[in-house]
Amino acid sequence: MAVGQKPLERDSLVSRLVDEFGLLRVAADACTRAGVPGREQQVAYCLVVLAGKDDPARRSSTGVVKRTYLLDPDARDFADQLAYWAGTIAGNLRRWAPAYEAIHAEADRYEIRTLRRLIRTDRGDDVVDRLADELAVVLTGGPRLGEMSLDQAREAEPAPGEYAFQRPLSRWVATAVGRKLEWYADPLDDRADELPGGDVRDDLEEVGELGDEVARALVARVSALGETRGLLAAAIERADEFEVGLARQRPTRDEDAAALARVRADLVHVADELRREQRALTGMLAYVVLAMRSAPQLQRVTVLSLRVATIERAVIDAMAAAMRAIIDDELQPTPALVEKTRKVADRRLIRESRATALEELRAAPDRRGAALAPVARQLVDLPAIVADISSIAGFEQTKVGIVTTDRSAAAKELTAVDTLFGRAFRRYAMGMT
Amino acid sequence: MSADDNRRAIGRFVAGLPVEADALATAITAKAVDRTVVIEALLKGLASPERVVRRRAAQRVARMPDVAPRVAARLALLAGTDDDDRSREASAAALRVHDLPVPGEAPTGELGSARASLAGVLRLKALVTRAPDAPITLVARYREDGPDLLGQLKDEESEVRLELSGLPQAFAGTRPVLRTRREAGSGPLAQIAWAETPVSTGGDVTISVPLEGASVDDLVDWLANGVDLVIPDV
Repeated sequence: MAVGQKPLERDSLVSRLVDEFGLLRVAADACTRAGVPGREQQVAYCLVVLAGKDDPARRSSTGVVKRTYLLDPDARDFADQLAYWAGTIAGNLRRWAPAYEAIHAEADRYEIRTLRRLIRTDRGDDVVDRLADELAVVLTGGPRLGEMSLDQAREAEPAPGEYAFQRPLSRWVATAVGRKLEWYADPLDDRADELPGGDVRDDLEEVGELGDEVARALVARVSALGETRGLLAAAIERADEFEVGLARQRPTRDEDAAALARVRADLVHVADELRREQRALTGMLAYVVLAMRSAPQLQRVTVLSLRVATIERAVIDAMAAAMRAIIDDELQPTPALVEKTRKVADRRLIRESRATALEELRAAPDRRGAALAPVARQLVDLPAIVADISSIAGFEQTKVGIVTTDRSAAAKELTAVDTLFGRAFRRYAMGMT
Repeated sequence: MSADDNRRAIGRFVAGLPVEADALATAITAKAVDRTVVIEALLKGLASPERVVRRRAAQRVARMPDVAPRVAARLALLAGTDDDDRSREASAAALRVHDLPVPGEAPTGELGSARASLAGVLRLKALVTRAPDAPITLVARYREDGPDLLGQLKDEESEVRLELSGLPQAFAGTRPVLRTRREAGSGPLAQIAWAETPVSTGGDVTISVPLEGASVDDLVDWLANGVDLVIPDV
């Protein structure tokens, strides 16, 4: 039965499944057996989506005519079918939820690392299109895991062909993309699909290595083009061997030139954004050193987050040296930093004390030494490098959860003052690209 | 070059350190290819003949850190002309989040001022589970207002508490007021409790809720009817 468009129909279906068939209990049992306790809301959501799908009899690749889901609440064996699909969904959740969530989270940051590992193409010239098709079906084919709940099932209309973990993610994506013109409809699911078990990393490696290699090869060829270097000249002018690299250029291939045309606008955008972030780095460090001195613990955690061992040592040392220089630089804080901090404080997006900490330094330069002496001492006393968040917690004699909260608060505060400040902090402290 | 090599090259570049030309060009090109793929995927979603797909694509854009010009143009078109009400509203909401003009709406003037005027009110949404230990969960009504926000009702012998985490930075240091609607419908929300201690810098606060003769089930119903948090005197 197709139940999708009308809220009353969806609400009615959910109520019936919960009250008559113990939906949440069935979901919870399946989660326990599959080793994913606590995911019953998500399994229940997926079951409602499947039960509401249009499920006509169709001819499979083997010629057999059959229906896929057989989830008719009026059928005698509905309870058995519900339990079967609950188990299948829970198993696929266990294996594919991390990849599904990673694709969504990475897309928010304009990244596609996990998605690239799902692709099966060996055609370099259309890998951008293929990746975009795959990403489109994942991003719009279902909500994020945290949004999957019975309330969501009641309120929100599912997409046609919605992914509900009824089959492995890689197979669903490949089939949906392969039927591009009809990707809104469900692929005909075969109940002989793999049952729960196995390791998702192995699954990704099995199906995706080729795609990732093709994507990286395309990047390498496009980046080596002379025209690419021309576009990036302003960004890489300080890099060595730029001229030598140009002299080594091979003749352009048509498909590489076509690929460059596709990414040209974003190439310029990315290079420009990185330049802006580079120019903003000193301002971010100045805010941390001079404005955050009104919150010593937050300041220490923020500074130590910029000294985590995952950051290249040379970069840590460069930022540490910049912070020490800021202490001694009477031109810091700059009027621009003071102004933007004041504006954000007036909008109550950050504490008032951050703005006053900067304004005091500009208003009374003769008292700068005394005002910044504690910070200067702290920068020296803090470890030059820390292993990880646990190390920060150990140094602060506090819990890892507190450090995590402080880091998140620092990232949000820096972003509120200047999105480039937040981006630079997240790049180094949280490894986000 | 691996993803780690790319990250290292860009990290050195942003920090102002010397970077090998090939490495930097490759790293930037890799980011550009990824960005192109994401933008193309969003455009495909926004161009879908299915309204749910268009709506989800627009909601996705509202969560992104920035919006590409082509995507913004597509959103503006949908906000002004889409046949589906909810797709139009999702597109308009995405434009507002990114401080872009919405067709047919008056400009807000100062950047972000339309949202800033509502900065003191946080609309929440109740997810009713009726589970014994967590009968109701609260999340932000519009995800971009509080992507990490989570509220859980705790019913213990001597008191009922609402534990909130992930509140936006604007709430830090304030004592917000909890408002609900006792009757279903569109009537006004009324204050039922307030925070006695300020919201932490991390966005956490616990609000004791006096039932005054009502039951926990009643409270769950009120929250389900409508709930928000207000910074007093804003």
